[in-house]
Amino acid sequence: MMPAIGYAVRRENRFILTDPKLNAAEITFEHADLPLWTKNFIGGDEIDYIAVHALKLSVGSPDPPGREYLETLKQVAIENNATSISDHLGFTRDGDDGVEMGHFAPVPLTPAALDVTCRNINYVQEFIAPFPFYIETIAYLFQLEGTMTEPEFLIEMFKRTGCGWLLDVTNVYANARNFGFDAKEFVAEVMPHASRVQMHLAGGFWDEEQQLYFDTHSQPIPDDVWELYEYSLNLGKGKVDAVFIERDAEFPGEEEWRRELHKMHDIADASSKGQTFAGSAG
Amino acid sequence: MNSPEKETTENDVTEKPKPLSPEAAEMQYRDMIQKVARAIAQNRTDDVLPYLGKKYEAKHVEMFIDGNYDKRIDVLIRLMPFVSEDEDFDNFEELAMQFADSKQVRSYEGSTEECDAMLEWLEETQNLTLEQQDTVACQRARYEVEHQARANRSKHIRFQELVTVAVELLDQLGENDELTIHVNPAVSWSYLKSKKYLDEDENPPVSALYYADDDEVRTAMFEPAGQNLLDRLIDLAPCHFSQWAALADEIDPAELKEFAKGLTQLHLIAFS
Repeated sequence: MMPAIGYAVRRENRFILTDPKLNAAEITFEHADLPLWTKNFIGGDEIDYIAVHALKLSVGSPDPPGREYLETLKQVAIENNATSISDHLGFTRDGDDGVEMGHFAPVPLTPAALDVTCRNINYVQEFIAPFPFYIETIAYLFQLEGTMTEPEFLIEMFKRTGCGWLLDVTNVYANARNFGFDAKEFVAEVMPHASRVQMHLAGGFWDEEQQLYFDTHSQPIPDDVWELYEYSLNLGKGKVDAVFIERDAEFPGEEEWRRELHKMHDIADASSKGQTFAGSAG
Repeated sequence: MNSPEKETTENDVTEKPKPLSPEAAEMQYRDMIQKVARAIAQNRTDDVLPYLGKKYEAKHVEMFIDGNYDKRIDVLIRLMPFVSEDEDFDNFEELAMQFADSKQVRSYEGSTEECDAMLEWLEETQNLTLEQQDTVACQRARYEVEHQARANRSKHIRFQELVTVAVELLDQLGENDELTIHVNPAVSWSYLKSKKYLDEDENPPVSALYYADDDEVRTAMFEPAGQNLLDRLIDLAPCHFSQWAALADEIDPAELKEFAKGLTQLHLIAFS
């Protein structure tokens, strides 16, 4: 099965929605929640697969996500004829009457966090049905003290919730490079336990001073990430529903937007036919 | 495999603690998330350290906090263009940083609520000139229009559809008793205190109406009499022209019809 291929939609790349190799688009919910708009965010474009990507479900918070947020999220999904909804494995706030941190921090890898996270994911899935829900594994600069490995946590989470995995290939690459584990082993351990998969690809940069890779969505996708993408596609054959490139800064020219889209498409095409992508080295 | 993250605590080398009940474990988890989230929201790295995995350092938390802070300032600048780009607020970035240092973002607050909170903070803490007060009022009214459109989404969409045929139906106003007047559901009033946004021949105070027009927020100025007529229509609508005319008996129906024509052209009323 060939996954749907697309971009996370930004103002700067809307032109690419008509590219013949694109049949998917990801809308960031917070961008698509435009109260004055009377049209769909993806207006008039023929897109087979539309994913709505949220930022504030905060499934690692002790309290379940708020109904108002969920209702608006579902409404945006309905209005845009979406195929799926996703958010991140993390927490952005402490609770209903607390504070927002601004960006998601990783949940601690503990049984208590697992219980809370699974309860919240199941609540979300029930609320947004019939849209399938995918949870994205995030890039982190730190983790809180835990007692499980990340694959152990994810495997149990998929078992208890049946939600899909939004495998951000670059996040795995960044975490592996920054904190010393094997990205391919990570994907190989988790992939068999996810019932369905979406993927993100992006490019960041290596900071020599900090000795860290930052997933800034501002640079071309590195070769190592392309290779991990191909590897992940082969492992997830038959259950990868859609793949998206994210770019949020230092926007390239049209040629570069198309080059990365076509490469993503061609690698997926080769993988679906059991072939190795000829240009995987570059 | 060399797995990501399997952290141990110092307690592991001493006596193993008894496992907590699920309820107690959740309470402990809630307490930890609350402490960590509030510490991060208040730029207190040290308070996160007791919960940090062993292979991470304070600098990792600091980078996370700094990144969040920069994004917060960026959002304030980007989403408050009416204020941040105004010549009367040439120190806006500095003000945004002062605001961010003094106010946390409450749960579920989106960008609009955050910007609204900053407008309130500006009024409470800064000695604003009349011109600055007008800029703040304009920005707030624009958010209010968005809020109204979000809260009344189906009415907003329906009204914008009706707008497309409003001019064609205008001739029937006062002639066709079945014709119903609808008022734009996404509107907000503000009171301008300076001449900053007024024409040469206008003098403050003036009532300004902000309203949704397709995907934009537009502004219209009203004399007190005009505001009064429109307010009564807002209370009454949807209604027939005769009902409005009965309430607005201080002016001639022909004048009221002329006033309605102006409202139609502004996309403030429409008909079905």
